[in-house]
Amino acid sequence: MMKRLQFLSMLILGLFASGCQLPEREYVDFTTFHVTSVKSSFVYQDDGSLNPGIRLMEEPSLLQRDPQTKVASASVSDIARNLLGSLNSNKVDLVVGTYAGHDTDMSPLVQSGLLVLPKSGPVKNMIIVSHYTIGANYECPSETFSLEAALAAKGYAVVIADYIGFGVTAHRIHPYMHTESTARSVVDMALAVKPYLAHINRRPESDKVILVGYSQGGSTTLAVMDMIQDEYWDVLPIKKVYCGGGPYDLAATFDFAMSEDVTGIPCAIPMIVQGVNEGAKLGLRMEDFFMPDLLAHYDDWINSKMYTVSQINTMMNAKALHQIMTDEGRNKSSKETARLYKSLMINSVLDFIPMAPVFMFHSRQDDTVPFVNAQSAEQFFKGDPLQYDFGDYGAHAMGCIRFLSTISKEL
Amino acid sequence: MRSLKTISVAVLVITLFLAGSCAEKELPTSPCTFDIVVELVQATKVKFFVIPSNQEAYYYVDIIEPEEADYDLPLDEVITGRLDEDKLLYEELLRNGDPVTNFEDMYLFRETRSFFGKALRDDADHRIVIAQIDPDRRVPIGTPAEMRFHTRGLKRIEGQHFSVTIENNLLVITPSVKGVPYAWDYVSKDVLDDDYRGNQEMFLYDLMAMYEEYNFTSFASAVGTEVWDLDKSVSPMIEGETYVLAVAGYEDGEFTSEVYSILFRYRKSGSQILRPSGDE
Repeated sequence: MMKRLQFLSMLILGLFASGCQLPEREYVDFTTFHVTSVKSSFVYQDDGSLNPGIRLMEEPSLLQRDPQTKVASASVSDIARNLLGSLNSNKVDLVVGTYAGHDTDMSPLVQSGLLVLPKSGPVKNMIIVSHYTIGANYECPSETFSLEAALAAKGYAVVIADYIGFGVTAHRIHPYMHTESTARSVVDMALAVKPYLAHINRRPESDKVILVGYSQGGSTTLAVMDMIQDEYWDVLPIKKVYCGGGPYDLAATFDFAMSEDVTGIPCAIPMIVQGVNEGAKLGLRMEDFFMPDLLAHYDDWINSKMYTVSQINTMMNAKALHQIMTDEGRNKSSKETARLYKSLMINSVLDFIPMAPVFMFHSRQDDTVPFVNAQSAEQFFKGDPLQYDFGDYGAHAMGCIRFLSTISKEL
Repeated sequence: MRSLKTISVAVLVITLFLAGSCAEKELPTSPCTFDIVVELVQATKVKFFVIPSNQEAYYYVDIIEPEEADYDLPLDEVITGRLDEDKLLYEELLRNGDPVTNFEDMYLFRETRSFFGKALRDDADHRIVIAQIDPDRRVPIGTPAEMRFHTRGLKRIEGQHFSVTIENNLLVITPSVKGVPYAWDYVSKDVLDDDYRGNQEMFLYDLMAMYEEYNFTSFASAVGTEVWDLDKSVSPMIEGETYVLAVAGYEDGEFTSEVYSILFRYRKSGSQILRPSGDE
């Protein structure tokens, strides 16, 4: 009877996902990860502080916050300093390369990403990271040293793919929150890197992989898990999954934002509408969804990939949904919005049974990705091997630090 | 170097301390009572909220139907029996080496939650049972709570059936009884066979139940003749794939007629009905 109490019907979402089948995937050659640059870096400076070159998550809702929170935000970097604890190798190699991935229609597409390795010592496992929301191309994995990459210093091979629309595909629209294509990028890179590690004699001691992702990366990580379970369990068996602060239930998130008429991450609204439209080929017209000011600028603000999430939020200068979206765009019973909404339902990642342990983290105070997502996920996965850590952990970026700190302690 | 590290750790500790001390937290085993708010009772579905007085408490929740063996047992015995079943299952998973996590994370709830029970027996009594559980000892503590409700009977629209045509990939559904709502959708036959063993009624029921949860039933329901362009499907149609269209009278969250279905093969150049309704 308990299963009758579940929030969502697994089978139905499975149907949605299956109904969303795309043309047969063209198999690509995963045997070559083409390295385009290698550089060494370090995690901690001599004084014990975190390498200032390591990029931390921005606080997307900072725009709406009071000066007090800016003080809290400033402390994020302080807190981040010691989050990793003991390291196997303070020095790490940042290996940027390209790999043969798949486009949204499953045709071959060369993509890029970052592999991070401890400079010395054995490699324990491969950690497959799905990155969080970024706006500027210079923030993408192949262009920066993100905080998740620092986990390599614990003795892991950290693989972080650029999603479509970043890195060597920066000229493309990023299919934001289109879970199939973003997860596919992540899995494709892991498949490409695995033989490369063997080739350079850095094969991990264990074939089991660890999946990590926060925010957009949190929901992508669950989609990656689902994809690996379905297609690559023999190649990439999963040891454990860590997901935090993720918009696992996009439709519920849409409803929440509409009912509150506010969002903690304004730029995510146009990014989701055009991203899902791009990924699912819905053929929606942005003028049906975006208010005039956004319509006039979204291409520059978002698709130029020149601005960070916070910068885009600042330029949008709006946090109320009615300032961002048209009346029709906010009305899910209208014809075009209904198509978008159904697509959001299809892009939910709450549609499978995990075959490995999952650690799920969410801060109740998260106003960027509302806590309702974590509750929906818990309700859906009740009876499955998920461990939950929901608490009063501050805003979204602060939650990210704590999430990574928790993982680091376990690794 | 050491002083900076010390400061950083201090910042972290203070921050966590402040976050933790915003409100005096109750313990999971502190006394807890439950408010059960039944939001909606239909013929085969119920929506309700559980509001625990102690938001840190872990609790078990379930619905019991009359035909279940423990339906007439005292509440304490129901809870103990069902919890024992979960514990046995959990131990079995552990023995088998299956992935597990904490018992409470797998089987219990915390904080105010809404629940949606479905596929219930119509026109029947039911019991919602709830009990606080000690997560360490995995035993009920405190006084369990229950709420009884009666599902209404299913309503039927006499003589309701549907005719379906497809021309130039325009799907047209015409109900025999005008002015009453109905639900419809289509799905790949392979998917229906794999996930629902070909049961189109279960498919449409689950689909509409999910739409209800998202207040989105308008997307898959209609009144009068419905015209739909297959080429504008949200999920891309697959060339040459066989689909099952299921349609049934639907009102107030329940079917008001049998579920009718047709088979059709999608082609961009023109889809074709393979099996009309009633020929299954």
